[in-house]
Amino acid sequence: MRRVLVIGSGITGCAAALELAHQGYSVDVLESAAGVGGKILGYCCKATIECARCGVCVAHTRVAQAVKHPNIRFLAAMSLQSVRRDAKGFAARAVQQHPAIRLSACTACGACAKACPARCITRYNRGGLVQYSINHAKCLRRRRRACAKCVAACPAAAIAGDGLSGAADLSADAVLVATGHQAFDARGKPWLGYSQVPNVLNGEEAEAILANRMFLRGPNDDVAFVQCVGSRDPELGRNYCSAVCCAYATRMARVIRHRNPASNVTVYLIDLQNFDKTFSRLRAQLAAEGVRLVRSAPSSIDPLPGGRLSVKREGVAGAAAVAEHDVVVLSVGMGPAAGAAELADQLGLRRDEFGFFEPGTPGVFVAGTCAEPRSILDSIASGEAVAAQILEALADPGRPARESTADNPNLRKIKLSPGVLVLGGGLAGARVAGELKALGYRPVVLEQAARTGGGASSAAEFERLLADVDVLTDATLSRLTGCIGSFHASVRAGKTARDIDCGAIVVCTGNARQDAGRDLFDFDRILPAGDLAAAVARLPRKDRPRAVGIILDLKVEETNAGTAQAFQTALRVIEQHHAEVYVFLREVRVAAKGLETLYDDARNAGVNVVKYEGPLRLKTIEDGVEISARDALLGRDAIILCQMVGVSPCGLSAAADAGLAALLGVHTDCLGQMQDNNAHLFPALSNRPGIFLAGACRSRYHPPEVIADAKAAAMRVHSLLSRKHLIVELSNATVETTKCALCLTCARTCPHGAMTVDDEKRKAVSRPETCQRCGICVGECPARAIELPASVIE
Amino acid sequence: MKKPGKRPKQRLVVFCCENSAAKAAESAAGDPMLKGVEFVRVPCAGRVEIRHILKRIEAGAAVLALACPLDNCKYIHGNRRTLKRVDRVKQVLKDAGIEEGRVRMEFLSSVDPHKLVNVIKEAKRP
Amino acid sequence: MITAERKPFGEIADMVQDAKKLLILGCGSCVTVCMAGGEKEVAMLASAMRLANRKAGRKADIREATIERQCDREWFDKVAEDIEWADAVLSMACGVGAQFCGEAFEGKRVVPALNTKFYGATERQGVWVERCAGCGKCVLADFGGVCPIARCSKSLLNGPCGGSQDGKCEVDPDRLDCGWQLIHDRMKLLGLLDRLEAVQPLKDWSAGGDGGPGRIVREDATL
Repeated sequence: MRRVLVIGSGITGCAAALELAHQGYSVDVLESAAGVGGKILGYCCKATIECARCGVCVAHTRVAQAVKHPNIRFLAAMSLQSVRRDAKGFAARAVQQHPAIRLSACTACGACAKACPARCITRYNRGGLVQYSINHAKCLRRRRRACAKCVAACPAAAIAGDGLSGAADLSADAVLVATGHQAFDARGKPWLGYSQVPNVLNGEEAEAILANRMFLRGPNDDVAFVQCVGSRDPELGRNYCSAVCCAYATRMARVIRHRNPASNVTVYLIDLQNFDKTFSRLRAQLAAEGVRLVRSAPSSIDPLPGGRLSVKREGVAGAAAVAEHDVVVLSVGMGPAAGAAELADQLGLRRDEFGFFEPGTPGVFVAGTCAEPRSILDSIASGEAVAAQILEALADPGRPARESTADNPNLRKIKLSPGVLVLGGGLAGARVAGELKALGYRPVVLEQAARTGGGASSAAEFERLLADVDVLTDATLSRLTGCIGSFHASVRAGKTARDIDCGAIVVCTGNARQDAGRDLFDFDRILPAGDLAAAVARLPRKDRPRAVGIILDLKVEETNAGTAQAFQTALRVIEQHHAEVYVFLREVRVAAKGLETLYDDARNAGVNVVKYEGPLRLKTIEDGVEISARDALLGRDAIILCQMVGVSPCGLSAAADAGLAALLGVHTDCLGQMQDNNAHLFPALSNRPGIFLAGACRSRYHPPEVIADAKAAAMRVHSLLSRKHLIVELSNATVETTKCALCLTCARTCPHGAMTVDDEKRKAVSRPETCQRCGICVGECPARAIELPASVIE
Repeated sequence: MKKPGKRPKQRLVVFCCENSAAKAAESAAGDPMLKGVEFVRVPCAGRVEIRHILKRIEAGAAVLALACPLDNCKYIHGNRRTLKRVDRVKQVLKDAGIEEGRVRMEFLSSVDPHKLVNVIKEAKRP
Repeated sequence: MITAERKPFGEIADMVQDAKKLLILGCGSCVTVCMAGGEKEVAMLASAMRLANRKAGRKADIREATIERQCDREWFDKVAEDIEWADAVLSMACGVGAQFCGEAFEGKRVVPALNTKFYGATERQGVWVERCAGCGKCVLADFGGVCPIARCSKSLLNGPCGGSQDGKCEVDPDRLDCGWQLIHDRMKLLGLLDRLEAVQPLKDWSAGGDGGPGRIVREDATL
C-alpha cells in the first residue's frame, strides 16, 4: 500500500488526503495544532439569503469526511522533527508536542471534557465537524502536574497515556506540504492602529466574531474595511496580491448590511479583484445592497473621543478626506506560515522571493496557500489537483476499496465504462487528456476546429500531451444518451459519424468570448488582445504603430488572464517595437502569482495605465483609433489616439454554446457560462453526475488556473472510473404507474438528469446511478406519483 | 384553565435540510431556544412539499422551512423550488384569512448554528 | 391538452360555503399536467378550505379524491360513494369534467373550481400556451403549420392587420407574437411563401363552436 505524508491538516491537506485515501493510499496527516482543520475553523459563513461562495461550509464537510476516512490518520499536536530520503521514499519522525486526542478513535462522547479539572478540553462542533481537542496552554500536564483524568475517562482509549513523550516514525512514498499561510501582522503598519486603537480588528478576528455572532459589535455600527493591508506593498516586501481579501471583506460587508440595512458599511480599496464566477453580477449586487466602495488607501486610523474612529485618506486629486466609523476591519493579506524556512530546509524546497514554496522536488509536493495565496475553494481544487499529480508521479493510480453487493439485495452493481470523452482540444482539453493518459485512461478528444490548440499557442506541449490520444478534429457532439458510467455519444468528425461509449465526459470547450468581438474587431486596427503582438510584428517596419492601446473590462469584469495577457503583450510591444502602449482598465486584476510584479515591470518599462470608469468608446478615424473614456483617477476625460488596439476577449460578454449545454444537460450560470455558480460543484463538477468541466468554459481563463482545473477534473474522473463498478443503493425515487400523468415535470425539474420517461412502462422512472435522493421531483410532481423511500416525512 | 391574557404557546415545526440546518441544529443542540421545537430532517429543502407544510399548520403549528442559501444547494436548486412553494403556502394562508407569518423560510449554512438559534428566536416571537 | 387555472379562493369559497359535506374531486389528466387540478392541487385547496372554515367558525367535512379522468363516466365509480355522501362536489376538472360529473350524478350540485382556458401545449416548465381553437376544420396545412385562428388575436385568415409591429401583436406586444408574422416566417422557411397569395374563402365556423353543441359519432365504434 502506498503511503503519503501530508504536512498540514487544513482544507488543502484534507482535500488531497481524501482523494488519495479514496484511491486506497494510506495517508498520515501531520498537524501541529491540537485540532485538525486549520484556519477554516475560525471562518464565518458569508451568505445573505444568497451564498457568497466563500467555501467555509464546503470545507467543513471535506474535513469532516477526512476525519472519518479509515485510510487517513491524523497526528494532531505533532511536529516534524526530521525527514530523510531512503530507498523506499521518505522516513520521517514526528514528535508529540503536547497531549492530543486521536481523532480516529474518538467517539466525541465528551467524557474527557467533563473529567478535565482544568477545563482545558474544548469541543468544536460546526458544519458537521465534531472534534475535541486539548488546549495545552491550560493543561495541568504542561505544569508537570501528574494528571491523567482525561485518559482515564476516555472510554475509547483515544488519549495516549503520557502524551508528552510520544513520537512517531513515519514512512512515506511521497510528502505533500500543505502548511498553509499566516495572516499579515497589522502591527507592521502602526499608523493603522491595530492592537493600539480599540475596535480596529484584522480580517481573521472579524471572521471569528461573525462565525459566532450576527454583528461585529452592535447592529448599528458604522463598519469600514481597509483593503491591501500587507498585500501589494513593495515597502513591506510583500509585492503581491493576496487574492482573498477583496472577497472576504466585500462578503462580510454584504452580510453586515444585509443584517441591518440601516447600517453604513464602507470598503476602502485600491482595486476590486474578480473573485467570483459571476463577478459582474456580484458588483451590481454590492451596489444594490448599499455597500460603499471607496477607492483609497487610508493613511491613518485614530481614536476619537467617545470611542469612534477617524479614518484619514487621500481623496481624488490629492485632497485629504476624513471619515468616521465605529469599527474598522483591516483586510490583512497572506504570508508564508511560521516555520516555512525550516521546513524548506528539511525537505529541500525552494521558496519564492516572498517566501511561498515553489513546486516541489521529486517526491515532495506543494499545494494550497503555502505555495501562493488562494481562496478556500481554490485550495480545495489545489488539493485535488496535487492528488492527481502524486498518483502520476508514483506511477500508481491506486485501487479504491471494492464494495460487495453480495449480502444486500438493495444494492446494485453497475459496470462503469472506462472510456472518457473530452470535449475541446485547447489548453484545458489537452491537459485533461494528458493527465488521464498518465492515470491509465484512453481518452478521446473532440476538437471542433481543424486543429487542436484552442486559444493557447505552445505546439510542442500540445504534441506531448496529446501523443497517443485519440483526437478527432472538425468534430462535434450531435447526441448524448445514457448517464454516469455509461454515456453514449454520437459524434460527427469531418464527414464521418462515430459512436463513442464512455463512463465520463469532461467539457473543456473553452472561452466562448473569443468569438464575442466579431462586431467590434476589424482585424486590421482593432483585434483580440492575444493577436496584437504578432500582428504588430507582421507589419513592415515603417507601418508599425506609434501608439498601441489594450483594452480590458470592456463589457464584463476582467479576470487575471486578461491582465496577464495585456501586460505581457504590452511589454513585448515596447521591447520589440518601442511603441507607446496604453492599457485601459477599470481594475488592476493581479490576484495570481507573479501578476503584481508583471504589472510593476510593465509600468517601469513605460506602459501607461489608464483606469477608466463609465463607458469606453472606440472611434476609427483616418490615422488610427481614438479611444475615449473617463479617467477615474484624474476625474477627467481621456482621449488617446492609437494606431492599433487590442481588446481582451475576457472582458467581453458572451454566453457558452447554449446548444451544447442543452445537449449535455449542463446548467449555465447567470452570465451564460457553463456550470452553476455553486460552491458544492467547484472545481470540476456539473449538475449532471459523470459530466465534468475544466477551464474557460466554466470561466477559468488564466493558464495556471486552467492547468490546476484540468488536473482536478482528471482526478474527479479517476476517482469515479477507477472504481470499475458503481455500487448504488436502490433507494432512488420510485414512481407509481397508476398515478403518473407522464407530464414530464420530474424530468424537467430534476437537476441531475435522473428522471426520464420509460416508454414501455408508460411512466417516469429515475436512474438509480444518477438519482441523488434529494426529493425535488417528489415535491414537484403534481400527481403525487413519486416517492423517495429513503425519506418519508408525513 | 389557561391564564387569561396569555396566548397559548404555538408549536414550531422546523424543516431542516440535512446539508445545512440539520447540521447547524446538531451544533446548537442544548440551546434553550431550541427547546420544544420539532425538527423534521429532509435530504434537501426541495423535498418539502406544500402539503407537508399545510398539514402542520392545520394541526396548529407554525412552520419554519430552513434551506441552504440560494446557489448553495447541494442539489442545485432545491432551495429555490421550496422558496416558491412557501410563497404558495403563504397565498393559501392569505386566502384562508390566516396570518402569512405562520410559515417562514430562512436560509442558513451548516456552519451557522448561532444564526439557526436566531431565526428560531424570530420565528417563536408571536 | 385542455388547460385551466384555479379560480380565486374567494370565489370558490362563496360557491360552496353552505355545503356541510364537501368533496373536492381532482382529475388526473390534462389539469394534472397543467398543474391546476391534480392530486396536489386538491390537497392544497382542501387545506385552504379547512383553514378558512375553522377561521370563520364554520363546520364542514371535506373529503379529497382524484380520479383518472372526469370526462369518462366509468372513472366516477371509484368515488361514487363519496359523491353520494357530499352536499356538493367541487370539481377540479375542466369544464367538461365538471359538467360530466353533474350528468353522472344528477341531483348532485357540482361546482367548478377551475376556469378552463384553451387547448394548449407546455412551452416550458410552468408555462402553457394556446395552439388550437377547436374550429372543427383544420387549416394548418395552408399556413405552414401555424394556426391563424388560434395565434392571431383576430383570427384573420388573409394576412395581418395594422396592429402587427416588429413581429408583435398590438393586443399585448410584450407577450404576444403576431400570428401572421409567425406564419410568414414559417412559410418562408418552408419555401412556400407564394402560397400565402391564395385568398382564403370565408370560413365555415359551424364546424366548430358556432354550429351548436358538437357531437361526434363513430358508427364503427358504437355498440
